[in-house]
Amino acid sequence: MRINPGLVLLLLPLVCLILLFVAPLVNIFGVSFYHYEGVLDYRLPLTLQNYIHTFQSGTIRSTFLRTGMIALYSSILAVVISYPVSYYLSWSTNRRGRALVMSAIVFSLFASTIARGLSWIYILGPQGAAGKISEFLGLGIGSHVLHTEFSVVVGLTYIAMPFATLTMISPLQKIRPVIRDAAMMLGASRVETFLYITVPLSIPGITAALAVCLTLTLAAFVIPLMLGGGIVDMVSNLIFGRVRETLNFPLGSAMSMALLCFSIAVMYLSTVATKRLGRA
Amino acid sequence: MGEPVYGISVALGIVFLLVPALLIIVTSFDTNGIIGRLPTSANFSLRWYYSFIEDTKFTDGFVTSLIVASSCGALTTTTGLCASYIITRYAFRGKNLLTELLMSPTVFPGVAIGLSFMYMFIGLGLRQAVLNLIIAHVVISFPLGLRPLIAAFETFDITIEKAAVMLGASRLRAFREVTLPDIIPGFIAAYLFAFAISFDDVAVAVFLTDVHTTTFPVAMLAAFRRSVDPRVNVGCVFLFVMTVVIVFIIEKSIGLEKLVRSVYAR
Repeated sequence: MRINPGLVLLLLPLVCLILLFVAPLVNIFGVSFYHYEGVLDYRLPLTLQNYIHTFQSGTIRSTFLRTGMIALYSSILAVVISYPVSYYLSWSTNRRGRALVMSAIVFSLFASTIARGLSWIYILGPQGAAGKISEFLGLGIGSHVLHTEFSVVVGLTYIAMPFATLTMISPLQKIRPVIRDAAMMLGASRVETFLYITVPLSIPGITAALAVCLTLTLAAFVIPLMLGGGIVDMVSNLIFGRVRETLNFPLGSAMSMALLCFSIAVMYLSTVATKRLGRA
Repeated sequence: MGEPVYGISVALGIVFLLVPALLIIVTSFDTNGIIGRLPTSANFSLRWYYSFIEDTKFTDGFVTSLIVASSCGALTTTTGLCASYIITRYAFRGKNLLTELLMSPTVFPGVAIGLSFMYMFIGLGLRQAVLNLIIAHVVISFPLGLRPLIAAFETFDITIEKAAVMLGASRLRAFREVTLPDIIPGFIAAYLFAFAISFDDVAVAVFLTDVHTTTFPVAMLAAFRRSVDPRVNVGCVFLFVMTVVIVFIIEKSIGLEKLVRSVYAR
């Protein structure tokens, strides 16, 4: 392989960039083994204490569990709600309709998370529409919905939805229409075709969208902060509290590593589960 | 398949996405900051807008975010240019590893990245918050900013560049005058992606801000947590306007559907 000087020149900023990615993370991997004595006082000997504390602490364990559940609910909901929209964007022949829907999706994608979270605080809050609607329908749930896991799930679903929609468009487009037409020609009703042909063929897309949403929601920080109000914490909020308030970097680093492994595990499990369901 | 059901679920999905935004816009004009009242002439007021603009916490945060986001966009686009050039045009042994590494920040939780940068910057004694923010934001926005550039390079017909070289232009000149103009939409998309990610980021910024420097979302969050502050609505409206501008620019330069297909197709 000839060493092209131009290539080297181009690689240089990339190498710097990769160092920039990798260095801090390797750094805190190391820090997670330090011993925390007090603010900014970290010392050797290296210890597993931080990790042990992460696994033993009831608060931390339950937060991880809660994070996983909330992330799962929101991701599944987001994928379910987004499916018709993705389908529309993949298959509709109406150019204006597609343009309109696409603009809405891209707008939501770029819009600020805080703004979108705030709107749900208004809807679910004491004066909000949710309260009024449930009053009208006679359900008593109304104004106590904020600062609960329900509100966090709703908020996260809202944030995750554009991501799910966009991820599913490409896989949905790969489903060959002849297969659907063939099923209908052989006598299947539209509902049957949808349930037994289209949905199973969409499984790769659904898996991908689930993975994307899970990555997003497991690491969620702003939405639980706003809609959880300090009562419903997810792991990111916990890490923030430990680090920013007591500067306990070793523990925060250990928890971050744990969150990373937890995310990978949840994603892997969901991928396996979706594929299993697809074969069933 | 039940046409009405399909149509209704699509419509509901879109309504679900957009109505909450409308709610905030309406509330920002309300005299008493009461949520969801339809604006009549009795309720309409711009007082929160005036109050917002006068508050330096918000305006300083806005300016800081603007500086950080635009620098981040510029840096991401430039390094992204190098990266996409190499990835699309060269083949070498470590290439897949390189690509994977460059896309890796998406796997990490924002707080992990924020935390690790905070620790590193403290350890290195780097206290310039704006610079720290720019560097950290480049890291988180790089993966998403890289995609439009790779797509742009891949759809570019390299034969016209080769033709230019054959006709006597130097490689650099051919690149500058033939390739670059064609790739500009990809540039714009990458820049705007990076800008939006940087401007909106909270999870990383919240670790890297200090007493003197804060970003717009962090300032909004602080105001929000302190009290019920109707000026937060005004901030959101400004953010929505910015988003509309970004989406508009993208539509005009590269077209939304084309962009999405190029970025999200595997």
